[in-house]
Amino acid sequence: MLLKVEDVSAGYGRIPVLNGISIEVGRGERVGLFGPNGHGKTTLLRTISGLMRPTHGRITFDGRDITTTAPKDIVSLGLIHVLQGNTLFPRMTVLENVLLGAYSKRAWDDREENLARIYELFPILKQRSRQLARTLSGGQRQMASIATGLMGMPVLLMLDEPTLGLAPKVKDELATAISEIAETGVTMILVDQDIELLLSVCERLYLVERGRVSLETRRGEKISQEDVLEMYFGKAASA
Amino acid sequence: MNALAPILSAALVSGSLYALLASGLSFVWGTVRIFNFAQGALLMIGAYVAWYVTDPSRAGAGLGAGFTAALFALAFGGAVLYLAIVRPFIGRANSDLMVIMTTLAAATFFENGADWVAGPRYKNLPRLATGNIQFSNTAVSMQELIIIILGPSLLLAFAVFLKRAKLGMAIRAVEQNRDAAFLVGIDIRNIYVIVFAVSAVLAAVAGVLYGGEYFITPTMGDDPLLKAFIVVVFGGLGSLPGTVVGAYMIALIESVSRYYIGLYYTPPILFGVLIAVMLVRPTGLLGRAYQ
Amino acid sequence: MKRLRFLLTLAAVGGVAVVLPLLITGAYYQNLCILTLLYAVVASNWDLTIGYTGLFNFAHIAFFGLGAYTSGILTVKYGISPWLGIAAAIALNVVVGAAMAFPATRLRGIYVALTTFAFTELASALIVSRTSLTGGSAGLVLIPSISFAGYDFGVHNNGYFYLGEILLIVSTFLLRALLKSDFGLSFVAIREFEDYAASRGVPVARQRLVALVVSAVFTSAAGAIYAHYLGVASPDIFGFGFVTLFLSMVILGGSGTLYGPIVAAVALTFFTEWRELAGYGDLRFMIVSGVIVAVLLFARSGLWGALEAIWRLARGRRRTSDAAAEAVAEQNRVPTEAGPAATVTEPQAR
Repeated sequence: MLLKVEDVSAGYGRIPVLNGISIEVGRGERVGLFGPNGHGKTTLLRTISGLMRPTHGRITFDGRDITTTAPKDIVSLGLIHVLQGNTLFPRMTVLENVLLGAYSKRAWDDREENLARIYELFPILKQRSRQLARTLSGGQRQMASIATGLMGMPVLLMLDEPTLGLAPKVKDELATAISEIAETGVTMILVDQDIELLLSVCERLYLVERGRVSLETRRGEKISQEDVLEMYFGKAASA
Repeated sequence: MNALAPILSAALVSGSLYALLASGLSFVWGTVRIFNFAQGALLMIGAYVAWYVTDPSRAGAGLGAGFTAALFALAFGGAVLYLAIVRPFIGRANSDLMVIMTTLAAATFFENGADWVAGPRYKNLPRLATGNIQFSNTAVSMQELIIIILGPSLLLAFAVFLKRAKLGMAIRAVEQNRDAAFLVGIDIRNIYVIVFAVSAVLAAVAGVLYGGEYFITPTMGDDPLLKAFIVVVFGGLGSLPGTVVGAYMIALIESVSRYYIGLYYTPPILFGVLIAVMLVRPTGLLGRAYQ
Repeated sequence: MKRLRFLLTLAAVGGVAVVLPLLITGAYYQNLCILTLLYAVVASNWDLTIGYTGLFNFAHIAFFGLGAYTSGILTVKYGISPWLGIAAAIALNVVVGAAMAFPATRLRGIYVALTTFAFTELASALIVSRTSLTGGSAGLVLIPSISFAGYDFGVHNNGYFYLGEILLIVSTFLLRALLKSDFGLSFVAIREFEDYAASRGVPVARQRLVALVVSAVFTSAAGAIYAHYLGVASPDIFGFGFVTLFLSMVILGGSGTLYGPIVAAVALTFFTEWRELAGYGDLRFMIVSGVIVAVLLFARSGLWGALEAIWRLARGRRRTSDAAAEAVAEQNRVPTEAGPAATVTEPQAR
């Protein structure tokens, strides 16, 4: 297993969000997380990337215990977290944003080659490279955000709701790009509300509810999209 | 017409000094989100360190050595100040307000410490260069000319560093989005230390320049701090261009008011302008909203 | 029962207040006590705004200084009675306090500190500039002493001693009553959760107005009495020295406690004015500032909080729920600089 999250609890102040959650991600695997809003998906990613400390439990990455490791050290292991809501450095150019993605020593020397690959994946970013990030459209910002993550040469890439709030056409474009990234063989954790996207990209899905995994399913297993949707909305409605 | 040259030269001299000190304040606010009330005390320490190294009655190593010593001492001092009285509070509730208190305490500590160590006798540094240059109907001293040139050049170099260097980029990244900065692998703790050290160095430069113009006393930093304070609020906390523009504007208002209205009425005019700006535009002329 | 306890307390405090000036007769110790009483009034009223409404401000330095100058100028230049001077000082500062509440209710956090600091400096700059009226940077001198029924307080300092006691007692009882009222409880609501309190209909603006005006009354009275007692009012009142001294009393005593700043005022006034330490002026202030940082670091509830903790331990009645809550809060504090950002930026977790 590349990433192991064991019985992790975490929260904000006195409000617990994760209640002993456990997930596993194998090398080269693409894993999707879904579930109602506010039930801990984002918090789980933030805890894995070191932005939050778990109050309980253990996280290991590539055999190393990273439960209390500082975010910058986690990044330099190749565990890259792309935040929700196309979070960029708003008053920097697109190029500066993307270059900052290669900040860690591990990725800095290869930044030129990686930049070329990323411009291939997202040609629009090349056109906009001198523009300030805050002047981009929502979809472009999301692309720049993912590009920034890719510049860190991820071993494991965590994308938090990359298609949130995008128009259908832009969403399709991004979904294609994400599939392309997935095909490069990078290990991935994808959080999204779009089950179709998750099913097309991921081999395995976790349903996260009330701070723990309430269901795990594989793409191979006979589970139709309708089943997932029903499960998801049924439970969400009762929650 | 006769008034133009003296007013302008005075405004440029004090504007450059204010810009140096205020940039440090503003820069620290922009990245660390705290307000350093000890910035004036750092200026004072810079002047004293330079004096002890320079003055023939002490080390007597010359002004060049004194200047250099002040820069290094304050880079170190700024970092230590951060580690001792700022870092422990970051992450706590109301950290910005707690740090007002700790930096005020630090200022008191340093001012009394300087008085204790150096005694009450007034001191001053030699000038960086002697002689005057006639500028229209006004004689501008070489020292003043150096201040007018050195201040903006240093700040320009600083701006280029922020724009071009990898470390400069990281500093801007921290200022703009802390979480995202963490996630690209920037070590924010180190950035904060560096930011404090840099702003202390700017204060040290201002201190050495002040020390050649005015007397060195334990409380010499109070008035410049106050002016820097007006400057950052006026120009916009956290915005470097705003701070520099604010510094020269405040210096100009001050200079005009001193010339036409008088020395004693100038501070009320400055504070009047300041309070008006704060009520109309609470984030300053070029500042951004803060939450 | 409650009423009885209140009356007993009142009687005890009153008794001590009557007896104390009779016991402490040396001019030196009387002076220390009078300064302590006046400083305690300033510190505890400043704490009403800092500790209870969470409004970190420098307004009280202005209230204190303007109080001293208003009464001083009116009595020196216009020859009115010091009592009327004190009343005028209070009236003026109620207006000033209300005016300060305007920016204080519009702005947040650091900007409140900055505007009120700027206002204090403005007041000081104005006073220095109007030399003919205020004595300029040399200060206003020959301010007449207060007298009552032919009894000149300047001759017998007992008068100032009693006056200081009365001011502190009245101020403390009023602050106490204010804080115990529903209105006072909502102060704390604002401090803890400004947005939430506002959204639940707690009138944030009115509260800050009340806090500033009420504390302006006592602070300016203390300033006026201070000027009559010393016979001078100098611009030093507005300086860093007084700011740090008063703020230290609030922080060391424990901001957000009623009696903490009073206790700290006693300790700090004696420490900074004590003649045995006269040769160590600088060192004393260095120690005080070191202690401030230490208190902020290790004992956030200040001297009063420490006293309370000892008291609770001694009575074996430690309020475990509070202790547990504190422990939880402490545990959840992320020890890196990620703290504040990490706890507030997730829009999803609600």
